[in-house]
Amino acid sequence: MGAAALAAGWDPRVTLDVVRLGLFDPPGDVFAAVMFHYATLPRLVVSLLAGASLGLAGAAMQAVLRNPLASPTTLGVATGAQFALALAALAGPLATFLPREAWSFIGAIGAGGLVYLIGKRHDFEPARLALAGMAISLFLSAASAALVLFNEQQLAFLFLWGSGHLAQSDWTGAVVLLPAFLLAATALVAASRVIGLLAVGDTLAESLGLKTETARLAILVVAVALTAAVVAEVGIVGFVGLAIPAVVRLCRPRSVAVTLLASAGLGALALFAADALAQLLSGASGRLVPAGAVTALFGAPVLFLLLARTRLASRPRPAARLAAGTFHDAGPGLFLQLAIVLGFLAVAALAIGRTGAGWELLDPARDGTLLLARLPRVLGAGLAGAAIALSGLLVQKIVGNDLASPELLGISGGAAAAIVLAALTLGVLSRTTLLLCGFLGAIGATLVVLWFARRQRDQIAAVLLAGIALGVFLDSIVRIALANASMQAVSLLTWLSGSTVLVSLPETLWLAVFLALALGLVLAGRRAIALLGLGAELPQSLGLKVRAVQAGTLILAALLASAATMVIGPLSFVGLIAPHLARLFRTRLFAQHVAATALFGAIVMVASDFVGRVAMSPWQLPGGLVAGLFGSLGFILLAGRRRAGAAAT
Amino acid sequence: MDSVSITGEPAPAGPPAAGAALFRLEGAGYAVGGTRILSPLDLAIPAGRFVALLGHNGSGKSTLLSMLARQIEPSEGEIAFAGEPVRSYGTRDFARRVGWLPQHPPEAANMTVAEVARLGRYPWRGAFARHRQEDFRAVAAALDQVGLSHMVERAMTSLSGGERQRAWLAMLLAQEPSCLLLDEPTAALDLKHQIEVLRLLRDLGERRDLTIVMAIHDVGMALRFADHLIALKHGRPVFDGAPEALTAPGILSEIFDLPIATVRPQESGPTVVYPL
Repeated sequence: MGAAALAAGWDPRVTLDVVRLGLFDPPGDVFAAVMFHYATLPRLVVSLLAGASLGLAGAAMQAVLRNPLASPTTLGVATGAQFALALAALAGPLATFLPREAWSFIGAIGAGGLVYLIGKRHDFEPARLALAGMAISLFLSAASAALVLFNEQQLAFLFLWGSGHLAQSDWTGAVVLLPAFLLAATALVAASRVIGLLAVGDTLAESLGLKTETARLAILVVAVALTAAVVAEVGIVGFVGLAIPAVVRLCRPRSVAVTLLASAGLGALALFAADALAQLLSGASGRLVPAGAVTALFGAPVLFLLLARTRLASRPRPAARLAAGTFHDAGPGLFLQLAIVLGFLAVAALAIGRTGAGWELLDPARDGTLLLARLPRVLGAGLAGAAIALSGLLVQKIVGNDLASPELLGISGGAAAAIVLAALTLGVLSRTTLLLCGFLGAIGATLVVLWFARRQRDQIAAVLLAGIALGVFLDSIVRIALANASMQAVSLLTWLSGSTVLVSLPETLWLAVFLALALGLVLAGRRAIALLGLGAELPQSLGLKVRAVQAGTLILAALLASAATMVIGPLSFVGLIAPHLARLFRTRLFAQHVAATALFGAIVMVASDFVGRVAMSPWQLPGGLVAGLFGSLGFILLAGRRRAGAAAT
Repeated sequence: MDSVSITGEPAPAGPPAAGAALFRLEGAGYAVGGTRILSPLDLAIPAGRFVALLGHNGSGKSTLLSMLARQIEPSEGEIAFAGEPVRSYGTRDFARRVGWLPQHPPEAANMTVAEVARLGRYPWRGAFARHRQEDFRAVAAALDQVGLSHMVERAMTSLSGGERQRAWLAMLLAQEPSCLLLDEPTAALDLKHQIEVLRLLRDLGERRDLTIVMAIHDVGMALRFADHLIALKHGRPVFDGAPEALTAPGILSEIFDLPIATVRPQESGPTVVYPL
């Protein structure tokens, strides 16, 4: 495939003569030869080396963690490296006492170490470990996005380069990657006996005299360092390290060394092919398509298939005994308090502003226009927050787990991808049309994840990973679509990160009507929806038409999610944390839970939007992004909890 | 097996008389992806009896129960309940006649005992109808009969394994079915609670005139509590009869592919089953 793409994309100006001249020391007067020597050739070498490195790192991680889902991307290592690089770039001269590669390594080891610690709490249960990695990735991505928005000038490259751009202008990348790869490959192949023992199992390895913890950490550090080198040179190239070792394993290699080397070789070929394809796509569309987006495009479905094929080992958890035998449910006072908090926040968000001169209290008599400008924003944030929170609660019921949310299951991502694609391909559309497109995208994404969830009934971590993979896949589509639409891209990026600036008053009114209808429907059908939380089998034996109720609930959840995504973007995480906040306040019964979740969603979004508006004045942080930063942090805490993944109420 | 036309039979008003077939399988089998899990089998589950399903791991007990409970559809053949094909019943209608408990019920982490029992009224009231006096009565009676009336407000997660199993039984009873299908209801319990639950089941079967079909591993318990036994081996029925007949020489050895002997130390006491 790579050869075919290369052949199709071959620049006709590159003749055999040019190759001969350009291979080693190009004469300065032959432009084609110079191009070949300083752009084409290094790019080819870098793509091969980066692919080989990622394949190797992934294979080593998967072996020593006994986890088919481990990889530089899924363990958060690559995103950690990227985030550290972005910080270093921002710090400018302050950070130059260390080379870029060192910063990259620090970030990678920091994120990877955190994931390792969380994984250790769960005995390295495969899906849980990957879930922790993805959680940290999501958080760091949100943080990186915030940095980009603040510092468009310095960090504009991050957007492109963040998705793995292989374009080269000299040999520096290759010069770093070659020794890194060779060193790591030698070390890992030399340690293949140790890796083989770790792959069999800790108890056995230990009884044979291996210090398992030390050995595993040493090998992981090598793999992380290699990943950090790749990220420092070419950015994040997703899923090569995940998919390639999986493909190699399908061929049942005989030894560890063969697995490692075959993963490296196949990884090199894969990234080479992906880059060739990316160049071909760039050439055809006139847009610059990063290779990393192409690998995500192919890699995310591989993760999906991998999850669908493998039964991940999961041990049944012993049911926790409650210390107190009875529940103390929240009383009606809670709702009054929440409503007061929401009202107070809304008034504050309307009245308080910040200018260069300092804080300012709005005078309703004098600043009527300002009030009118802020009103739709506050209303929109609150309503969208309530809508996405309700959507999250419904999704948690459908999937039967309280770690699910529209953001994590790719539902919001589906809406966003559909909206961006529609806006880019069909030109500017009315918001109603966009909403419809978003709804179709959300439904499509939901159906994929639900189909998957049905196959993996008790494997919630696998379902979540599939959802996250779907989200990454959709995100790569968005990135490819946006890659070269630079002017539009930044404005769409602002929107994707959840800016409420664009909302108009009539829209908020429609949103309010829709939300009220949805709330009414959910409360009326609460008995059936609450039953969904008990899994698939028992509700059916009680006479619930599980499929029908699931489908209805799902359509409602997708509608709510897409309506909210229109206002606050796809990554707010309010759909995840609002139901949890409600649960923390002991709303156990479904109707209470619904009401408190909607209130909390509104509170979190209004507060986030307010903070985003005033925190860094005169710049405005999108409210969705502020919520996303806190929300993904909450997700990390939830995913790291010992009893994470308990059934929803 | 006698050849009664399933479709030709008029639908009986109530449950069939004791001993008549409540469930009737005609060539019903289950295969998934070319792997045969349950060979097509003809079988009658007698009404009003406490039936134990025996067999080694993977013999098809659970599959058979799931088919009876309509959790899975047989890939071939027919299953009739009370003379009508099981497919012909509405979802809630079927749930008012047959209660089913999977081997691993959900955790129900956030529910009280009473709330679990109340789930059993869903087949009667559905999603929207208000609960009436008779619903509260049915739930109270169910909780009373399983002996949990004193802990209705307790959290499910604070119960012992035996108590939790009884709470789920209360849900089944609140369904007011004529038949209970139980997949290894004693698997996770210690000896004391096993005896407790099985006694309760036998007692309930008599008081409510229930048909109970239960998959169980322990042959001794099956002999002691059930009054009709069906044994499967590699997806085929190898025994269908009274407990006394099962202890005839050779039959148990044949079912489990293992030399097994039985002894009855006391004339009226339980039979002891032991591998040789």
